[in-house]
Amino acid sequence: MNDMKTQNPGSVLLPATPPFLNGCALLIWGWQCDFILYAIGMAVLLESARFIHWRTPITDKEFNRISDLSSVIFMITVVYVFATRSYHGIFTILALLPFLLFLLILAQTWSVQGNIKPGALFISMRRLNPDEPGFNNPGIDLSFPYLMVCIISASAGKQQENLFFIFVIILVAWTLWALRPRHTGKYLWLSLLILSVAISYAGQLGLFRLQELTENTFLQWFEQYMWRSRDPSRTTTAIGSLGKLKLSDRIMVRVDTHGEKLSSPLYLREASYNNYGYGVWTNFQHTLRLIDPLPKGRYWIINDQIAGNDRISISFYMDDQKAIIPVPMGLNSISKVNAIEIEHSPYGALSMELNPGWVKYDAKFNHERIDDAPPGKEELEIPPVYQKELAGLADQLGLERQSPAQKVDTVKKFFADNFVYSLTQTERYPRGKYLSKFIFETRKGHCEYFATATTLLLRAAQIPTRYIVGYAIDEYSPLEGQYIGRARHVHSWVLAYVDNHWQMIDTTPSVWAPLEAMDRSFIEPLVDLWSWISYKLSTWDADDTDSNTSGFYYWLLVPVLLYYLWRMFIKDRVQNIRRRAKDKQMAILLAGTDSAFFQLLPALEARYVPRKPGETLTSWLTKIEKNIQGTELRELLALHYRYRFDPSGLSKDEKQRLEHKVKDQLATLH
Amino acid sequence: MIKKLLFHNFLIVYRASQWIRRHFTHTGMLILAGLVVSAIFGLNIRQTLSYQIFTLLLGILLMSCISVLVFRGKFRFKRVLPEYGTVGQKLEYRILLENLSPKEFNNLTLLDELATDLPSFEHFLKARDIQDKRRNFFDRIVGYPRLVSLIRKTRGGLIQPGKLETISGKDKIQQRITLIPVRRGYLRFATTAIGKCDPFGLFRRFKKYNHQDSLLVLPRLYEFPPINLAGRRKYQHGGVNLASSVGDSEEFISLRDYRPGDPMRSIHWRSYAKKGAPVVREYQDEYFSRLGLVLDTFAGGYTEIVFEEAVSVAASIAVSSLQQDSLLDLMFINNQVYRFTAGRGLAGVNNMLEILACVESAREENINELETLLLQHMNDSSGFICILLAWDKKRQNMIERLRSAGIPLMVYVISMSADSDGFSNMTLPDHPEYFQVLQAGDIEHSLQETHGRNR
Repeated sequence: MNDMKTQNPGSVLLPATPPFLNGCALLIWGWQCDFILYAIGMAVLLESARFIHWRTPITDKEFNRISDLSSVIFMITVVYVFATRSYHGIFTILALLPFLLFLLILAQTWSVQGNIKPGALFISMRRLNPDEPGFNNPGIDLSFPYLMVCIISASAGKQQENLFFIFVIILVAWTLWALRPRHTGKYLWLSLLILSVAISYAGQLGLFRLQELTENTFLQWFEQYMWRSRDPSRTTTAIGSLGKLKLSDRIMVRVDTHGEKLSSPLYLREASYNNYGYGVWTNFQHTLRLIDPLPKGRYWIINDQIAGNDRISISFYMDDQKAIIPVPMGLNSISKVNAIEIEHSPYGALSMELNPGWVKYDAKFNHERIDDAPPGKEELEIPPVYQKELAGLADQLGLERQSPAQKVDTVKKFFADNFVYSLTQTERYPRGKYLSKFIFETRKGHCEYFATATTLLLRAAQIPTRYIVGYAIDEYSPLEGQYIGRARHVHSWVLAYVDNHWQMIDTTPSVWAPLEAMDRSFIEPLVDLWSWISYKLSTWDADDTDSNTSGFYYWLLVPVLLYYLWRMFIKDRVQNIRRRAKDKQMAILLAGTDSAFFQLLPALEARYVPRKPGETLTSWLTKIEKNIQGTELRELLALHYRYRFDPSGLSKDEKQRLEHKVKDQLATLH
Repeated sequence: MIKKLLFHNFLIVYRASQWIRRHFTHTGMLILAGLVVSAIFGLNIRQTLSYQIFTLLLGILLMSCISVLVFRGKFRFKRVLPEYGTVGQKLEYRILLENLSPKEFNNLTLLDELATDLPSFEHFLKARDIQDKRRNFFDRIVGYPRLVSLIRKTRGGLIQPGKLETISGKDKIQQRITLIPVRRGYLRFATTAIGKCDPFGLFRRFKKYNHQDSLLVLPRLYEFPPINLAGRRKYQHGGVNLASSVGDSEEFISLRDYRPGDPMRSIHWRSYAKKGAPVVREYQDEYFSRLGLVLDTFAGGYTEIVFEEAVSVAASIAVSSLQQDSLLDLMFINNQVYRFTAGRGLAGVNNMLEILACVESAREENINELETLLLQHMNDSSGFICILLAWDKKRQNMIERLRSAGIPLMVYVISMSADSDGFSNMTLPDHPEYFQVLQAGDIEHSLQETHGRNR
């Protein structure tokens, strides 16, 4: 053993990051998330520790306090962001993480220890007894975990995705190179890295495809089973989705115009939004105000400034007890509904509280008089990524020199002349460029593209605008005698503030409805019928006593009547026919069982050898006929077999012959 | 029901975490954590670019795993263990490793593993952990840290993987391994594994070798003050050797005439032949101090922690008392009566510690039997040091009987709580210093307090 070399147990702690790695990660994060100035400062603070050798002793307890302070700041940020941006704020928090953890990494970098105990991060570990056998409490160097936090936080930013991917590869490769085991071959390491990047790239392509599939499947499933009412503070568009947008044929709204034909689509609004960013429209100013019903009851004046000339009855499926309901633009009042509570937003959304299910209400309106809340600065805001391009386009269209009404006409004409409607997107664009590609290159898309682009382009021309979501009702159902709105009729359009009035603008080419209808299922009429029956059944005990559909229920008696008629007159006949058919079958099975030959068997068995179970008559007769002289048993058996199994059976004479001979044989045997 | 479900989930989580800890290096775990976080934030590829990080880290981890798929090394091991270990004290041993193949290997990891028996649900429910009182409410209720602690206890210790930089073809090296035992008794070494790390240093592939051994771990020892019981030396019939019930080499004084009742084996046959009348040998009577170290083994409703602490206290007393010139009888009952004697040339302190390393708590109540045992040996013992697991009526009666018999006593009661109010009805009013309550988990502190008070 003398020639043995001794090796010491190796250190297993994560080392510190190599020089400038964390600094670079911070800069990339700052670039991605628009915090570049802060990022430079933070990077300098961290990296300068490599050149300055001054350090301060920080005890474990002080580290604990710093960690607690970071946690408190984190919690306050989470509460604030969630309060202002709901759960969508999670990505804001993700982008802010390097800020929130900076205090801890800074303290570690400038401390004498250079690492912190796990107790600083996990309160539960602080109270554990370090003297307990087996208690393992190594220090943790936070620099690599912080690096990972910076990289992941940077992904919440909005810059170019290709450049970001390259930066991520550099940072991760730098990390792996710094932490690679000794004796690792450079070329092997490099080739593995290249392969990893290739796999990663292929994986990204796969993920795009997967997301496309998932979104489409989920959208269909969601529409089918989980339809929820509109959120007036946020709506996610399908802008940027690849593949073909598929919407279901499910009937969502029914509109009774009381016999009047619609000359143009009827727009039913659900909500208005004023803030756009990356495929999501939001309205954080929206508030709902409770409307008191008139003393006579079941009548709510929404806006008495509007004279409600038109009246329609709307039926809408409320999934929840409280939901946003579709109402016409320029709404005056809601009536004939036993709502518990109705709330109205100055932005046009109307929330109703009632038992879930189909609800029917009357709406008086004047769609030429839209009296929404006046525009604020939000109605002129354009996301920074589009500002330059849209300003250029507005310039190109000469909008600056035109009056507001002319601007609207120019924009409408621009879309009508240059754009086509399409539900399919085949090309993947860089993030934040979906709309630019639509406006300047592909020029084809669905209503969300048109409405969003129109909203932002008019804003670029200094016309305040809002993005509206609701239904465009155009399809008349002869079955129901009223207009219906399907899930695929969900539409978006624009509200523009022109000459101190809100004006509705829809730049989506009018072919959208027929185009979407082309995708309808061939069983749609059946589904519609079922939907109509379900609707009627569900409104059976509805409170709308005004309904003139009560006669419909008498039709339900028809199947009942038919059933009884069937029972009384047809059922017995059918059963008799069935019984006869069965008897016939039985008769075939039992044919020949009355053969006279069977009378012989007991006597033969008693006289000679008994027949074994399953033994055929032929083999049994072969056994016993040796003892019987001059009998005609063989001939009788042949006749018997013919009588039993021959479909044509025996003639009358043959049958008589069989019976006589059997009798003779019996007499002989006795 | 929920607890059982949680328990089974905990076992799955534990196995998964062990697998990850074994197969991933610290860098690998960092990358794995990054992978999980980026997967969460990258679910919607339109919201963030996390999916790019996710795919890159996934690609790297995949390549890491693939690059170590083939590991064709052949090795031989020999474990060189010390005779004993002690709970809580770091011990070092060596593994002699021989590379049987002509190929040189780099970036290897040596992982020596103790056998790990996962506890049953019933065992988990009954288990108590001394660290529990330091844990937060959630951890205490849910119990995962307790389960981990229980598994660690059952296993007996944790051995960190050792790094081997290089081993040449047909070469031998020795690796020093450090182990801190966390429980007494036999630790079972099950396997030795040698792992090859991928070029990124993230993932390890192991070759496992069955390599069984065992190591006796002695109980944890506390520094105990000397115990001076007010006893006196007692006559020991048959002398020291008979005190241990072995052998008959007594110290000879003279010959005398046979008296009825003398044992046959005392007859001196040569003198009998010469004299014609029976003559017997006479021996020196033995007087010396002989203490009984009484260990209460019936934990009953009390926890295992208390029993473990009692064993440690017994071991500590054995070590401190055997330095004095006396005999020490370790007495306890577990299915049968055990009485081991050490000191004055008989068994040494190590033998007694070995016994204490393996003593187990009794399932059935045995205080009455213990009392009988003590009363039986009362006459040849100078005093009893009793280590009790509780201070209930039966134990109080036992101590009272011994006290009224006039035998010097030192009573230690191991308690889970520091509160001594429950011990106000102690039965040693004349010598309160001979009754001590020691708090489980904080024995040293309790001893210091008592020592300070007595001074």
